[in-house]
Amino acid sequence: MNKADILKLGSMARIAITDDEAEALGKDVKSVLQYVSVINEITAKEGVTKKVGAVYNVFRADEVTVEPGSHTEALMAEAPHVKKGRLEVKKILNTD
Amino acid sequence: MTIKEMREKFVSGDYTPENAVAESLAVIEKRDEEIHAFLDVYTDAVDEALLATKRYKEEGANAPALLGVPIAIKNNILIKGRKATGGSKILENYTATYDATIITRLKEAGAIIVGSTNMDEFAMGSSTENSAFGPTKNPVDARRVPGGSSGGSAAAVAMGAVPVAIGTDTGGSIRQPASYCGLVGFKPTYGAVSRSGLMAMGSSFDQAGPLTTSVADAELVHGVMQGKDVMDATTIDADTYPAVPLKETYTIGIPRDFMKEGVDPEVMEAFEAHAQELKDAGHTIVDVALPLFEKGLAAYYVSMPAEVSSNLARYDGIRYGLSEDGETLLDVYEKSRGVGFGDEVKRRILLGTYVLSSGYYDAYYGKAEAARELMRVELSKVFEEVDIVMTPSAPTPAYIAGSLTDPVSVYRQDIFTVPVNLTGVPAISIPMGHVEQQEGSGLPVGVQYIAPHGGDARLFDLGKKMYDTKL
Repeated sequence: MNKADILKLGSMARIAITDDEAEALGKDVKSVLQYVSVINEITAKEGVTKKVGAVYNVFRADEVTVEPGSHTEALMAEAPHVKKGRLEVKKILNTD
Repeated sequence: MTIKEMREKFVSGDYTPENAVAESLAVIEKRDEEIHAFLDVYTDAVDEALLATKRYKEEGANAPALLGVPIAIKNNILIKGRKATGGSKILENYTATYDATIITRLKEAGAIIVGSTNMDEFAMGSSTENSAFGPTKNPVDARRVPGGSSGGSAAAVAMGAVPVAIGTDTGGSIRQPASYCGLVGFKPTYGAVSRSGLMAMGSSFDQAGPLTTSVADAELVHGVMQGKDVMDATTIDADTYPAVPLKETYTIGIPRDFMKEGVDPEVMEAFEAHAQELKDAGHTIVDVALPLFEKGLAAYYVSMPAEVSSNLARYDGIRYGLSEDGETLLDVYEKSRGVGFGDEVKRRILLGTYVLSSGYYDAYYGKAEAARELMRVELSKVFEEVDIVMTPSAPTPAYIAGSLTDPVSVYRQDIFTVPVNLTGVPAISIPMGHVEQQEGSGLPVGVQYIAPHGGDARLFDLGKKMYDTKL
């Protein structure tokens, strides 16, 4: 787990990571991964494979149970950048 | 004072909700500067107390079960109109827009919320040293940690500010602080209590539960919060699991191999004394083998970060919470999350991202989930022979703040509690005595009882017999 690996993971997880952080995180992530490798001992002997849970529908019917718009104001009040009743975001494509 | 005692006085009129809330706020005023159990104190609770006092005059013993009882709530549980930070800088200024289901139920039962409690950031930690708003101290010995991640809730009860506080438990975050602070802490069967309105950490592990000073109080408050909720599809019905009957005396299994290493000798001494007490009370103690449980912590540190990395993707700097300025949308995400999250949260998100990434998924996440299933099978076989499995709640008493820094050593504090969340069974921690340690005396330690799925009532039954009778 070198610095480049950590920066790559950071980019996948959408977290900006400084160089100093990358070093410490690399050490920690490596030691945890070493520690968790004992899961191979649990599963190797039994030869189990991935298990899919019992399949049944747990979802409620998709019915609107509130007055449309009744939460909009409260939710929008929490958004950092709002413009004309919409969330405002920065451009997605970098055209440089 | 327990909730039950408080209730009797409320009904008789010797003591009123106004007295209780005033006392609660006075204790916070006096002690919280040092302890830092609370992130927010709701002084308007006195208005609710006034109404509750009036209601007792009219309704007497017919008043709702928790009417007028001061309660504190871990700050990862949403209370409409109150700040919900999750102990994180990324939600420092976030105000909840709705009540969690358990909050709705507690309010309906008349509980008066006096404040929100401190916690490890997004419930990741075992000491409440990882809060973005500073650590909480243990009221028993302020040099020590209160445990975590529900350390603020535990400290709030232990310092006498409230008779009950609500915590959440993903890998031991209610039971371990209960053990460190000399309290009762209860983690229900997975699905017994709605997670709607809780900040998700590990969705297949998380459950909310009470920290109290008696088992009867924990039972009462859990009774108010539990039950099916349309807002959480994982909540269970009363008949989801086969009935787990109450008995006069129980057969209790001890997985001794599990405790051979890494447990303080003083804790083991208190544990053996508790086992003897159970025998003296007519219960039967037997040895059981749970070899997979010893390795459970490893499975937990794969599955939990995997769920963490998915769940925390929602904190994006766009819809709510901290937003850092950037050139592009991607910059905004990366900077907001880079600045907003603390070290432990970043560590777990990166670990989760790693174990879920293509090429490693089967080697880590697939195996960890398979291991969980094997642990469930192993445990259910043990429950064919015994009624309850018993371990210490934690391998040590509360430790000195700052003394554990290496992540894996911190994780090991949860060795006895994590298998319970991995398998979804209920467990309770009750005080089993005090131990002496270098530089510290009279440190409380807890014993953990574990029951089969749906066996929550059995834990309360044995807990009341073994603990409440001593109060």
